[in-house]
Order: sequence, then structure tokens, then C-alpha cells
Amino acid sequence: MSVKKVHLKRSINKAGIIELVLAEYRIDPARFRQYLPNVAIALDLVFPVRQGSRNPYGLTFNERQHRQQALENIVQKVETNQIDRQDAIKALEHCAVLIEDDNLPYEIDRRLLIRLLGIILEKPISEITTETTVEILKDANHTIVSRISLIRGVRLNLTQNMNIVSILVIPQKIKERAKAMRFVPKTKLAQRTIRDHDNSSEDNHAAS
Amino acid sequence: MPLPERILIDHSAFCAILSSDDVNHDLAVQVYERLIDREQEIWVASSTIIKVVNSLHREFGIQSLLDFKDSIDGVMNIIWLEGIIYRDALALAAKHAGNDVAIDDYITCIVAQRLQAYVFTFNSCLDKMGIPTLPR
Repeated sequence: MSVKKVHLKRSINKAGIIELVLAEYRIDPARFRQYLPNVAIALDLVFPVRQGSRNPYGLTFNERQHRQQALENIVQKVETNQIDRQDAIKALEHCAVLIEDDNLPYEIDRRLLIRLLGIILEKPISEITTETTVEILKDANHTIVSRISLIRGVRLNLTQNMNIVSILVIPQKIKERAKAMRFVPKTKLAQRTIRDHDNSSEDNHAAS
Repeated sequence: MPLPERILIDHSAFCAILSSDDVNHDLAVQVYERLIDREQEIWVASSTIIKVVNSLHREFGIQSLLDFKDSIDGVMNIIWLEGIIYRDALALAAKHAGNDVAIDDYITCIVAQRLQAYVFTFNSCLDKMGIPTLPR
């Protein structure tokens, strides 16, 4: 019998089992949640999800307005092709703040974000085929305190002041996005909608 | 408000995403795209999945159902409903007897509370029950 098994046998009592379950939950919470979602929910209540460095209150009205205005000014430069790399970095920093606040305007769409990334990376994102980290702030004193997913597969590593330290590109995750969007109809379907067969939700829809 | 970490997608949101002539379709797709891009933790109740795949199968055949399954694999987490959730939903329905709310919505309400999740929905009654919802 292996040492691990002997140790396991000794620890099989109520407390030992709880410890084992807790250890699995802490080691890989996502996988644990996949197999035992209801146990994970119960554990979440006892051990709340860490919120990281996020501000629980979000931006003030003035802060939000300032960020949106500054971003809009840079976007206008994109339209006239007058944008440089520093402007693009600044634009993504505004985007990061607004994303964290869940207030990025819908006009700032994926295509625009990819264009800004292209300016910063100095090549189209589609040309990156392996996981790559692009350093933006070269100074080693900058500590990463938060990460924001700009688009699936592109993460901004940020300082406390929301300056971009580096950009992580994961091509595998970028591909995942196309897969996740596959079931969404691309064109105006002439076919009947699935709700034609589901009267129960129609009333709720009408109410909304 | 800060970006929610965990989202539960309900049936009305799936209907709006899947039906291009739905009044909420464009907004639903925009919200869904953002959930995918932000890599937020997306959850779906098994009862919702069953309703969606059932409708897809009836309407568009087995291939659309398989495509849907392939599309959400690894992107969404499914919460398999246990008896205790139905029991709690029924208790909530009994407490709010007289309200014109479907039992499915009480189930969504209970699951959202347990997951501490926002609900991506176009169903206004969840908002009225005090559940945080998307789109805001």
C-alpha cells in the first residue's frame, strides 16, 4: 500500500472527508464545480468568491463620462487614421476601466478593439499563432494587480492605476469564440422562430 | 456597476439569441458576445438546456441540436437541477401565490440566488423579484 493510501486510510473520518472535499474545491474550483455544482454552491456560501482588486461600487458618473469622452476622442482619430501606438494603448486603458465598470459603449465593438490591438502589436492579431505576451511597460517595478479580458483570448495585465503592463494573446481562446458564436444565426432567418413552439415564454417576453 | 463575474442565462435570452426576428435579438447577441469576450463564468440550468434543445430538435432537426451542444461545450457550465431546487422553487411559488409567475422563473430565481449570479434575461418578472439582471 502506498504512503498516500495509508495516509488517506488514517484520515478517513468525518473531518478528513471534509478536508479532502475542501482541498479539491480549492485546488481546481472550476473542475470541482463541473462535477459537483450543488456542493460548490454550498461551499461558495461558506467561502465567498474572492473579488480581487475590483471596486465594488464602480465608477462615479463623472469618472465614467470622462473615460467615455476620452475614448471617443481617440476613436475619432482611428477613423481618420491619425492614431499612433501610444493613443491605441491609452484607448485600451480607457476600455479596461469601462469594461471593469461594465459600461463600455456598444459602439466600441470587437472590430475596433482588434484594430487597436493591431496598432499596438504592430501586426494583425490573426498572425499570432502561439501564446504570446507583449510587454508594454518595460519597467520591472510595475506590478500586475488585475487582468481584464478585452476579447476572448486577449487579456490585459494591469497595474493598480489601470495602466497596461502587458498583453497576453492566447490564439486557442480566440478560436473558442468562433465556436461559442456558431449557434447564433447570422442572417435574418425566414424560418419560424423557436418561440413559435413555446407559448409559455411568449407572455414573459411580451411583458419585458 | 462592476462587471458581474457569474451569469445565468435563462430561456428568454436563448430565445432572443436564436430567433433573428425576435424584437430583442440584436441586443441579446451583443450581450452574449460580450459575455464570451469577457470570459465571464456562464451558467445554464439543465431545465433551460432541455427546453432549448427540444425546440431546436423539433424546429431544425438533430444537426442543429448537435451544433448547439458543440457550440456551448467548454463555454457554459450546466447546473443539473436537484430535487432541493424544485422544492425551494415550489416553496417560493407558494409564498408568492397569486402572482402570475411561471414555476420556471421561480427555479431561475432560486438557481441565481444559489450561484450568486446575474441573470441574462428578457423576462421582467425576475427583476421584480429582486434578482440582478442583464441587460441593465
